[in-house]
Amino acid sequence: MGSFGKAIIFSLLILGFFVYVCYYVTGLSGGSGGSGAKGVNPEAGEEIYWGEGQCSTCHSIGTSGSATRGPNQEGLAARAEERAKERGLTSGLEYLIESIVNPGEYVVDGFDNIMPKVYDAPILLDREQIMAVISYLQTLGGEADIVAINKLKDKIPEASKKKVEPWVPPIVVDASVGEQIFFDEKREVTCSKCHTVNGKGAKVGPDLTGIGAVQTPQYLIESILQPSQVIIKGFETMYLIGTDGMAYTGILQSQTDEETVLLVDEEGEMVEYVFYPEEIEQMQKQDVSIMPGNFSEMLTTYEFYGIVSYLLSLK
Amino acid sequence: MNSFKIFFSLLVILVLQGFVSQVVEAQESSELVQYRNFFGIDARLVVWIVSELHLMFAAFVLGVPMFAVTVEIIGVKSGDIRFDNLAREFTKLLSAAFATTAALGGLLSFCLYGMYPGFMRYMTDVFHPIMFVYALLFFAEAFCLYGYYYSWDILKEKGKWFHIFLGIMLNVFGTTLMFLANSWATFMMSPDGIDLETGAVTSLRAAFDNFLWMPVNLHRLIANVAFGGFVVGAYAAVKFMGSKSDDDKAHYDWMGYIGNFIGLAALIPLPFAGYYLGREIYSSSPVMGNIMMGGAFSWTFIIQAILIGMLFIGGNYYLWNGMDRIEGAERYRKYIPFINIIIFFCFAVWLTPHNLPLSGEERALIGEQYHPFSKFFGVMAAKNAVVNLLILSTFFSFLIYRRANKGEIVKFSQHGNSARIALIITAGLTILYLVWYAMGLRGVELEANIKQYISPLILCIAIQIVAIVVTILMTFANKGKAAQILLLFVTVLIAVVYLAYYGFVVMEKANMVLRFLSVTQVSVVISCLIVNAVIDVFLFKNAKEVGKIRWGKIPLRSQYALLLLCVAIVTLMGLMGFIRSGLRMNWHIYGYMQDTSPGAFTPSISYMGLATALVVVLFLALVSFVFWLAGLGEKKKSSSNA
Amino acid sequence: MRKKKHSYSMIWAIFSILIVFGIIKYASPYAFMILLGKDHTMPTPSTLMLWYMILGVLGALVYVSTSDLKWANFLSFMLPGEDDRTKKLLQKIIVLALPLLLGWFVYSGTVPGTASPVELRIQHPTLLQKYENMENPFAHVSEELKEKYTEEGKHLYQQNCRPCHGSKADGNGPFANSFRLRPINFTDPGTIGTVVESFVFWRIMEGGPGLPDGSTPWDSAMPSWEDTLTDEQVWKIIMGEYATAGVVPRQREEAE
Repeated sequence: MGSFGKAIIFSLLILGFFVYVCYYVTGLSGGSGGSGAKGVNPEAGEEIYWGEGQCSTCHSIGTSGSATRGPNQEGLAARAEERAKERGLTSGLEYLIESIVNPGEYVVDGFDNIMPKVYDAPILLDREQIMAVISYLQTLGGEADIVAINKLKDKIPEASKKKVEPWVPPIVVDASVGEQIFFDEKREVTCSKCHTVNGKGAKVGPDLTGIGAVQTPQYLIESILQPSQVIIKGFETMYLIGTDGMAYTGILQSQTDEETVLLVDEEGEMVEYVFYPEEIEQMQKQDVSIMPGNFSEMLTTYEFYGIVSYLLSLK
Repeated sequence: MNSFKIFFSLLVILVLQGFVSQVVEAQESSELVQYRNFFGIDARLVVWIVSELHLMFAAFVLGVPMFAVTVEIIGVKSGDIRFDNLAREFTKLLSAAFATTAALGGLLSFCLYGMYPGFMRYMTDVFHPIMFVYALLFFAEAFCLYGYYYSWDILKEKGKWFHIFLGIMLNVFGTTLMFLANSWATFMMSPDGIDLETGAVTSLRAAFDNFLWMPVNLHRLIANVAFGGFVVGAYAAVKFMGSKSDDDKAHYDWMGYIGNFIGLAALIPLPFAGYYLGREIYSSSPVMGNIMMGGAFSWTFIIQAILIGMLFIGGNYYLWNGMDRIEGAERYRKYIPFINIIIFFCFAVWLTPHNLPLSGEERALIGEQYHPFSKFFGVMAAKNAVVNLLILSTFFSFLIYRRANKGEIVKFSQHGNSARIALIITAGLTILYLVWYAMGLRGVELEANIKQYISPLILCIAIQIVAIVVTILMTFANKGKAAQILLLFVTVLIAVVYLAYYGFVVMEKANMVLRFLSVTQVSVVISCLIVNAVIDVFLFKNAKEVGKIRWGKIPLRSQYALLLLCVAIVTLMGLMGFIRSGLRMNWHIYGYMQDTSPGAFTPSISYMGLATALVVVLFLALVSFVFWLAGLGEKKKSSSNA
Repeated sequence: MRKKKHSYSMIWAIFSILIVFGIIKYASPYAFMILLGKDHTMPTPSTLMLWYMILGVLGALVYVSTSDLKWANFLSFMLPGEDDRTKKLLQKIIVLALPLLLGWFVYSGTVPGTASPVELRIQHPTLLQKYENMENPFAHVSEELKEKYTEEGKHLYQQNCRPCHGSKADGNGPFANSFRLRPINFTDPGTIGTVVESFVFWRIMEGGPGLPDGSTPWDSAMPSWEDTLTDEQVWKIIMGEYATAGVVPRQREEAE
C-alpha cells in the first residue's frame, strides 16, 4: 500500500504541475484566457471582421486580405464622412450603420449590390458584435466613438432568431455530384476551367471559395442561368479592337502604361493576349458576361441543383 | 460475476436504445425545452467530464486488444509462454474496463439527450441509421470480447488460430465502432451533407464521411494505441513497486517494458498524424484554423508542447534507466549525454512562443517587437525541425537500447532470401511513396516565381531515395550498422539541418511553400524510421548475446517515469479533447446550429486546466478501482493454491 | 581497476547549469548582436530565461539519474566521508547557496517593483485617408531633375534627420542611444522599404504625436515636422532618405 500511496502522490504532483502551468499561461496570455476581446471596442470588432463576421471574404483593408468583391476599406472613416454629406446623412457613423443594416441602399460605384445582411443567417452577428465592427471601421482613418455608436444603437437590429425561408432543392440531389461536375474536365464546359474553389481551378472568373457563406441560393441560381445579370467587379468583359482590325472579347487581366493583358476564350481554352498601347484601336466594357449563358441546355436539372447545393456547401 | 457483466452491458445498450426512441417521440410533442442542467450543475461541464471519461476508457478498450492480439501472435510464433500470459493479463484488464466503458457511454447518452434535447434531436435526425448500426455492432464487440477472454483455455491447444481470429475480429469491431462515433464528433466540426440554412439532410453519406472524419480517425487510432500502452505501463509500474518476490518483479518489469515500447512506438508517428489533422482543419475552415493556431487556442499548444515534451523525456529516461539491467549496455552509455542535451534543446525550442509578450523595459532594450529567440525559435520552420530531431533522437535511443546486449551479429547474407525480399519490399514501398509525393510536388499549381522554391524539396527527396538505395545495398554487403548510421546521418542533414534553414528562406520569400516543406520533412524522416527499423530487425536476428537482461533489476526511479508517461498522456488526451471540441466556439454544429445555452463560453485556460485535472483524477481513480476489482479473483486463487 | 574515491558529478551538474545560464544570460545577447548586425545587445526576456533555466536544471537531473551508479555518485557528494578540503568547502558552498538562491527567488518575486505593463503594439498603423492618395510631386520629372532633388534631399536629410537616424540612415545617429525605442534603421529592408512614400510623408509630417492610440504614440520620440519643413522639402527628404538607405519604396498597386 505504501508504494501505491507514493504512486498516487506522484501522479497528483504531475497534475498539480499541469494545473499550475495552465494558470501561469492564463496570466501570461493576458488574463483573458484566450477567449479574445469581447464587448463594443475596436479590438473585438477587428476580430469579428476577420473571423466570425466573414467581412474579409469580400473586403480587404489596405494590403491585408486579398478579396476584391467589395471595396477596400482602408481609410473608410474619412470616406464615410464625405459620403454622409453627399447623401444628406448627419454623420459618417450613420453612413456606416446604413451600409451594414441596409447594404443595398447605397452601392459604391463600380461594385455590385451583393452584400448580405450580416444579422441574418448564416453570419448571424448580434447587435453588440455589429457595434464592435462599426467601432473598428471607425478606426480605419479615424477614431472610434463608442458613445456615439451607443446612441444610435436602436438603428441596428438584433440577430434574427427566426428561421430564414428554407431553400430546398426541388428534387433530391447530392452535393458531391455537383462537386464532381464542377471539376469534371471531360465535360463540354467545366466550372473549374474559370472558377477556383479552395485553390483548385483557374482564375478567370471570381474565386468561389466560401461563396456559400455569403450568398443566397437564389443568387447562385440566377448567376448560373443568367450570368450577365450581375458581373462581379473586375470580371467584366472587354471588347477590344486592335490596330490590325481584329476584334477580341475577353476579361481584362491587367492594365498598365506599357501593356494590356486580355484573357480570351479560344475554343474552350483561356489564352492570354498582351497588347501594347499602340496596338489598341478601341477598348470598351461590355454588359455581357464571358460566362456561357446556355447552362440550362448543358446541364440536366439533377446536375444543376447538384452544383447549386455544392456551391452552398462551400463555407 | 462475469455473466453479470455481460448482462449489465447489454442492459445498458437496450435501455439506451429505448430511451433514444422515447426522447425522439417526446420531442415532437413539445419543442420548448432546449437545455436542461444536471442537478443544478452546468450541463456543459458535466458532458465535458463524462465524455472525456468515456473517451479515455474507450481508448483503453480499443488500444489494449490491438497489442494483446499482437502479443499473442508473437507468443504463438516464438513459443514463449510469457507472451501468452501477458496477452491474457491484458485481456483480463480489458473485460473489466469494457463494462465501465459501456456504463459511461450510457451515462453520456443520457446526459446528452437529457441536457441538450434540441441538439440531440437534430443529431438523431441526421444520424439515426448509423446510431442503429452502432448499437448493433456493440453486440458483436461484446460477444467477441467475452468469447476471446473465456475461450482462452478451451482453445489453447487446438484452436489457437481461431482464438486469434476472434481477437482480430474484436479489433475490427472495436475500430469500426470508434469510426462510427467519430463521424458524429467531426460532423459537429465540419458539417457536410446538410443544408446549412435549413438543416435538411441532403446526403447521409456526406454527413458521415465529412471532411475531418478520416484525419480524426487516423489520429485517434494511433493515439489510442499509445494511450493503451502507457496505461498498461503504469499498471505494471504500480504492481512492480508493490511486489515482493523477484519473480513478480521480473514479470512486471517486463510488462512495463512492453507497455512503454508500444506506447513509444505509437507516439513517434503521432505528431505526423496530428500535423495532418491540423492541416485539414485549416482547409475545412480557415477561420477555425486561425482560432486554433493563431487565436484563442494558440496558448493551449504551449501546454501541449510541455506535455509532449514530458512524454518524450519520460520515454527516453525509462529506456536509459532500463539499460542499467542489461549487461553490455555500458558500451552505449557514452551516447546518452548527447541525446539528453539534444532532447532538452529541442524541447526548449519547441516551447518558445512566437508571440511572447514583453514588458516595456525589455522591448526598449531589445529595440524591436520580437526577441531573436522567439523570432527564430517561435516559428513553424524551427519547430518542425526540432520535432523531427526529437523523434529521430528518440529512435536512436531506442536503437541503442535494442542492441545493448547484442554482440557479434550474423552476416546479413546468411539470413537468406526472405530477409532480402522483406527488405527490398519495405524499401521499395517507401521509395514509391517518396516518388509519388515528389511527383505531386512537381505538379503543384503555383505561380512561377513561387514555384521555383519547390525544386530544392524535390532534390531533397531524390537525395533521400539515393541514400535509401545505398543503405539497402550496404546492408546486403553485410555492412548493416554503417548503413543505418549513413541513413540517419543523411536524414538529419536533410530534414533537420537543411530544411530548417530552407524553411526560414521560404518563410520570407514564398510562404505558400512552407506546407509542402513540412510534409517533405515528415516524409523523409518517416522513410528513414521505417527502413532503419526493418534493417535493425534483421541485423540483430540471432545475434550473439554478450549479456543477459536481468528483468526486475531496473532502478525504482524508472517506474516513476512510467507513471509520468501515463499521467501525461491521459492529461494530453484531455487537453486535446478540449481543443478539438472547443474549436467550434459557440456552435453545436459549426456554421449551422448555435449553442445558446449559458454554458456556451470559451473557458479560460485555467478553468480548462482544473476541469482536465479533475477528469484525469477521476479516470485514474476509476481505472485503479476497476483493476483492483479485476485482481480480486486472482488473489483468492493464489491464496488457495498455497 | 581502482574505483574512484570521490565523485564530483554534482559539481559537474551545477557547473553545466551555470554554463547554460551564462550562455543564455550573457553570451546570447552578444551573439545575436553580432549575428544580426545590431549595435546593441539583445538581452533574453525574463520569461524565456526562467523557462530555459528550468529546462536546464531538469536536464541535468535527468542525466545524473539515468543509472543507479550515477545517481549514487551524484548524491554521495553530500554525504560525509573521508573528504579532502576542497570537497568540504564545495559542500558548504552548496549547503549555503541553495537556501540563499531560494530566498532570492522569493524576495524578487514579492518585492514591490515598477514594471511597465506588458502590451502588444501595432507595428504598421493604418495610413490616414488624407495621405492615402498623395503622390510624390517629383515622381514624374525628368531623370536629371530627379537626381538634383535627391541630392538636395540628401542634404536636407543630413541637416534635419541625421542626429537621430544617423548619417548612413542606419538608425545610429549621435542621439540614438538616448531613446527608449531606438530610431528606426532605414537600411533594414523591413522598414521604409515596405511602405509607400506617402506613408513616410505622413510619419514625417505628424511624427509620434500623430500616431493612433494602438501604436502607443508615447513610445515614439519622432517630432512632427509640419511646422518646420515645407511639403516640397519633405518630399525631397524622402527621396534623399531612400537613396541614403539604399532601399526603394513600395510601389502602389494599380488603383481600380
